[in-house]
Amino acid sequence: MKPRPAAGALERLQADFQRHVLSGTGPFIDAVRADGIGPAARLSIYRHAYRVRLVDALRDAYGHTLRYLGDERFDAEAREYVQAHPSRRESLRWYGAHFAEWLAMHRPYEPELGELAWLDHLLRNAFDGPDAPVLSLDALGAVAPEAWSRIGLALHPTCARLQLAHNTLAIWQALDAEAAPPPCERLAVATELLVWRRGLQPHFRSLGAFECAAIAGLFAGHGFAAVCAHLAERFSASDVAAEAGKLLRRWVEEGLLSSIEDPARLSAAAT
Amino acid sequence: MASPRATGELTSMHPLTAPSPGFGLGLRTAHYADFLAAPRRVDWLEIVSDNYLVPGGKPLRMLDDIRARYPMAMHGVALSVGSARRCDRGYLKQLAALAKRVEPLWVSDHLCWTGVHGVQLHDLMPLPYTEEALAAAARNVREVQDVLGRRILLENVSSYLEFRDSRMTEWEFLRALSDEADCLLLLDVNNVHVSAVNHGFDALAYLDALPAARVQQIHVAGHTDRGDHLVDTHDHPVCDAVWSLYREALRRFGGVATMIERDDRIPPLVELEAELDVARGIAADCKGASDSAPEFRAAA
Repeated sequence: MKPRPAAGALERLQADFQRHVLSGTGPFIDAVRADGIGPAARLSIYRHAYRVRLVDALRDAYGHTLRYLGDERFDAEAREYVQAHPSRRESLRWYGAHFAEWLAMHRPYEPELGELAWLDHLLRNAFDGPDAPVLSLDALGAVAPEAWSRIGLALHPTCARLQLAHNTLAIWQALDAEAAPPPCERLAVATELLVWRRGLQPHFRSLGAFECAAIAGLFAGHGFAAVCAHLAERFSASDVAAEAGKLLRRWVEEGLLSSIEDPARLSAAAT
Repeated sequence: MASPRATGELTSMHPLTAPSPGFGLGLRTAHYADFLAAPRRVDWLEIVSDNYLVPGGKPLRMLDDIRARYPMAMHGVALSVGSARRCDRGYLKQLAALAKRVEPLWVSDHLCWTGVHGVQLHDLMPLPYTEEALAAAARNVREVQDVLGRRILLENVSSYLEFRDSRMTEWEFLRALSDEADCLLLLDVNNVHVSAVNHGFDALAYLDALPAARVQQIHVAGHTDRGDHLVDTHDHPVCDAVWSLYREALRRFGGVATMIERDDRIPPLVELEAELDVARGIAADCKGASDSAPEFRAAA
């Protein structure tokens, strides 16, 4: 850590005040003027408001997790998280980015909690993630046949993947429909989800094994030909060219693709 | 009170403040559709800048679409000009980029600090009113104004404690800071009332001490009465005591741009429009009653 220059009286006072808000300890109470309701009661207003605000930020960001746990249980988990994780970003929008991980680590016997919170988190990120153009069928049709061997396809920047080992998707869907969620079960085969924003609305859907492998190739930045070659190797029984063609059309229709990356064109532009 | 004649002359020759755009509301997500569907009885909107410091998606799309229909002011909560340390340059850069996008009427934040040593408390923390705090805040405000290329407005916050070390009152501090940093003021009438009750000072003495020529905007809002203290919750309609103080503020500062700030338990837009009519009515009364009074600056 970078050494700080010596703190003045104001900085020490602010650090003491902050310490009191975070942990209720330290000498700050002596710096408070003693009148009216008294220093302890005055300080507790700030300590209480801090916790309420951060818990509210988590409630706002993890809506389905909140619905699943109910107010009381969610708030208890959130308070514990808040106590362990001071905020470090200016905007509350970014608070709680590690809540899903924290639930997964601290509540290992309720593995659906971490997964549910991850899904909430990714949907929220898709909601206000970066804007980008969406590839059209016309643009795809304009690719010269000989160019397919070298082009890459850029996914929309809001695309994210999530693997669910449990029936968390069924739980999420029940909560979304305000129905009673099913009991948690481990799945024989994990569900692969893709989350992204279509227009202004976050979306997600599950991916079959073939599509999941194709999308993984795009995430890894492989060119379209390399992705197809890998699919042909792994799914030798299927007609890879026909299947990949169908997927391409679907991706474009769903707004999953942002642009065609042509290394030849890029290097031509650079010279 | 703050030498009205001198202020009046200063204002007419070299106005520090922009002309008042009238009566506004805080833009809240619950009202996006209303503002896009049809013209509303609202002259301008105030956004919470921090809600739009996101990469993209619906918040920025709504911002652009609604900005095309209404003048907007930018109101931030995380500049932390009262911090002993300098304001975060990265945050300031984001704010400058948003200001370029919005082309706001003006940019405001609060006279407070929000955290030190990399931690954010997400609260408007009060300052000790000392020479050291004054120098730090003036330095920070000047730096912010240099980056943004404009005077900013500082808002007085509600507070729940005072410091033994304070050597001046809040209003003396605000006045000295606005002179020292050459910034403008966003007078939150509700916050004056809340702090006056919590600390037992005279709200009118507070208003009397403020430099009229620097008051660019007024906030009115509701609060919660907890029996032995008030909390600035912004989740209630404006109460009579705050409307009375608003009337006193207008008598002193003229037809200043006024806005109702509701942050929680957001009612239908028509209810806030009706509440804004109360402000309009008080402003009309004050203007009528003081047409001969030199200190009443009419809204442009």
